[in-house]
Amino acid sequence: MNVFSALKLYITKMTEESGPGMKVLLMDKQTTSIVSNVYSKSEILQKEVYLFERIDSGAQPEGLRHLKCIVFLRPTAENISLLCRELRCPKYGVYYIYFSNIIAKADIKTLAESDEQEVVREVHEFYADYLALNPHLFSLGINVCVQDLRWIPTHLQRTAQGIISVLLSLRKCPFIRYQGGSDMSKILAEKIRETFSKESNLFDFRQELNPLLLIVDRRDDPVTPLLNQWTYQAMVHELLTINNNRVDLSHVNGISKELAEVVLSAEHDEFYAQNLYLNFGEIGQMIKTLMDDFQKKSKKNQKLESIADIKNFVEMYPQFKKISGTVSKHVTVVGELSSLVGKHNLLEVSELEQELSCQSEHSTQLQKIKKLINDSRVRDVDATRLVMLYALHYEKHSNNDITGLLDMLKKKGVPATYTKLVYSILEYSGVHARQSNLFNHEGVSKITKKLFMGLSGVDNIYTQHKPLLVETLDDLLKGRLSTQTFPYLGNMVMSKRPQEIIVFIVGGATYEESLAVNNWNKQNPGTKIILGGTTIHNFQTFTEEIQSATNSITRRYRSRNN
Amino acid sequence: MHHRLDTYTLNKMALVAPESMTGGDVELGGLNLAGDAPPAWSDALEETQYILSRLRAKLAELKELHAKHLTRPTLDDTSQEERQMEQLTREMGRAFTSGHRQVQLIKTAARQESRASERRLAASAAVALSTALQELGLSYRAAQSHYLQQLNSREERSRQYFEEDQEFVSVEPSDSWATDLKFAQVGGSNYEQQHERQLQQEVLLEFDDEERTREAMIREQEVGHIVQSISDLNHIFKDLAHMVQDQGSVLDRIDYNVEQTQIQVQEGYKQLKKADTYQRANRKLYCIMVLTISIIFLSFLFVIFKT
Repeated sequence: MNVFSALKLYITKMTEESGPGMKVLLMDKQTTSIVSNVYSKSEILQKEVYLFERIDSGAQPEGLRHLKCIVFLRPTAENISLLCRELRCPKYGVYYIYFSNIIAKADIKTLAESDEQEVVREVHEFYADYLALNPHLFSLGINVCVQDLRWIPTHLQRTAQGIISVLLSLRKCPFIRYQGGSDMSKILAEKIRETFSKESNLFDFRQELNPLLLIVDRRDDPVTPLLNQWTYQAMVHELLTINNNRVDLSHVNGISKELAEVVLSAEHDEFYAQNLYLNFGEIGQMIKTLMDDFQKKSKKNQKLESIADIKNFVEMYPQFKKISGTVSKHVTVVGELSSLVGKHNLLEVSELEQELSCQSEHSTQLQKIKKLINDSRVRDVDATRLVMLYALHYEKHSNNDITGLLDMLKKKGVPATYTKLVYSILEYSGVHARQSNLFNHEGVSKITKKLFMGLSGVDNIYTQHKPLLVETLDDLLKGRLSTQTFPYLGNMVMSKRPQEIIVFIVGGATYEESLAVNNWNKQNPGTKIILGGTTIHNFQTFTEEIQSATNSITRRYRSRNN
Repeated sequence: MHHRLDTYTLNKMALVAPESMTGGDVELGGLNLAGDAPPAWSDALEETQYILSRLRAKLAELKELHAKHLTRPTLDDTSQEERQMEQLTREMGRAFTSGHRQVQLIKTAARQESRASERRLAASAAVALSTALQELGLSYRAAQSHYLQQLNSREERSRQYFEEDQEFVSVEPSDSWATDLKFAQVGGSNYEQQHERQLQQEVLLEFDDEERTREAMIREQEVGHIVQSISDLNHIFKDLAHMVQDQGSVLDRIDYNVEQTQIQVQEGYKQLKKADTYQRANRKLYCIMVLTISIIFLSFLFVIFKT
């Protein structure tokens, strides 16, 4: 149950199956991202893959017939036709073709017909059709999958394919449970089962560990992607946006050219791997020790008096260079983060966000929101965030003041695209759309929990919020998750406790949830959980999703309030 | 589970008519002839790969010998194994040098290559090979220094017990890459020593033979050390020249590289377009110029003939 190594195994196999000789890797846009997340260029160069080409880059007249070509494509109609064209006048000597998902027989036939010169040696299906970001986290890279609260058909197809390939690459044929109140989850679950029955021989695995696929809907927990984050990975994503483990820093003032874009990959960066789940304060300390280490090393390197010193220097040099790269990268990133935190008063904003998501004190919170909206340091997005959280929390509160807050936002000069979001999010996942009581703290267990919390105090006011997913997983593993809210697909019911769980969030996961799942895996070695989502959201991408979801549906909130 | 598609590819013979196939082959074969032959530097590539595989085997062998030698009790004589080790290090040194030379060959070939994709291919092949060489070189040197360290510490320990035997400190097995050179030097110093002996025979009568030989031994050892460190230095500089280090940076991302090539291709296309428009614009201007000149000329004629 490790999506990262599953993908890596596939790619390694691809490079090895064609035997020795120079190779070129021919990919499409999506498979390029898939490969780059698991393999670095220097690693794949050692596998004798020396060239990388995109199949859609436009025809190049020059041929390199002495090369072996590894083709790794998604089985889309467009790719098939491009590949047919390529095979009719081949640029390379022999072709080893790998499709990232199940391919139709008809497509194979057209390919075979185009292979006039018999250059194709092998055709395989290697189920690497998703982006592995961490060993327990995958994404499909679909930023917006909803339109008017319904699936965009092409993206539904892609999502189902992605999940199928995850299951096939991990060799699991799981039971499926889905969010009862969500049509999107149900449609997806049914689509997946359809493939199960159609390709039943592919899914004929020996099952020992009771795998379960749990499909949940983002609409049930709209709070998590709205919050500011304080753990390293999540924070970088929230404030600087991680895109396929790459972070664009070119907008930062006075940045050097090598650091305009940095890579944050746990696989190729030891420091990042150790610290990705630490919180901001701890990161500061880690950076400091890293710097001290580095300074010690660089001082040592300055002493070059004898030949032995030079010899030592050269032995250390690659490592030294690597460390210096790591240091400058992380110092830049953390420096940028802390400057943003200071500039936009994020500590205070985040404290209030956490309060809004975890506690119910209407009037004091309302006062605090008003105060922060008037604070000139607070960004428009953060002000909007607060009002959105307030609206979600106090939607049904008898004397809520959403309109008043909206007026204040308008007065502050917040653009209309943001102010619209407040009603859009209610539309997207107001009380009517949610299945669970996100803010209801009246339940008996909740009250006792709260009492304990009150007694022991809160560890960290900036990380009080726990995503709803934690609760769902807890219920699931204790066998308390009701079959009403999370029905099984079909009439099969799992009798035993699931030991391997693949959670998929329709509408995008977040790094906060990834952190929660990681902690869970660490604390419970008996169960393995993998988290996936149509994408990994931060506030910015989540708002895009909301806008698309509520663009042209009939509004039920606006009329009442305006 | 992946092999269920193989049958299709095997069956493709039946799907394609044989005569059309051979026909296509001839035509297209002629078309693509330029890219058919492997480039000249592919020999160098294969050579280097062979060297690399041999180096790997030798390194393993050397490590094994080191381990064996370290676990055995000290013997003062240079044993069979030590000689074997010396042989191995010499061979490895030579292999490294020739490996570097081959990589250099590929690099120069890459620069002379006319087509862009060939150039990229050769460049990344060179990078791959020098990374592999670098890694091997590092682990080789690490193994050597580890061995020497172990040996020294053992000597230290044994020195404590055999304080009185200090005079007979065994000569360390040298890990020099240029043992040849060292041998030459040994001969030289021997010769020098003889020469010296002749010159100063009368003066140094009181020195007995034993003392002189010891002095010569010490000197020889020192000279050997100097030669060794110089050759080390030579190696270090060679290594520095070949050093590749962009692991972990964005340069090491496959998608970044693919994007970069695409950007370059697009840039090239834009430049071409620009050049094309310039050319066209020039032609137009040329036409205009010719026409205006002819108009002026004709009007001139018109004025002359009318008046």
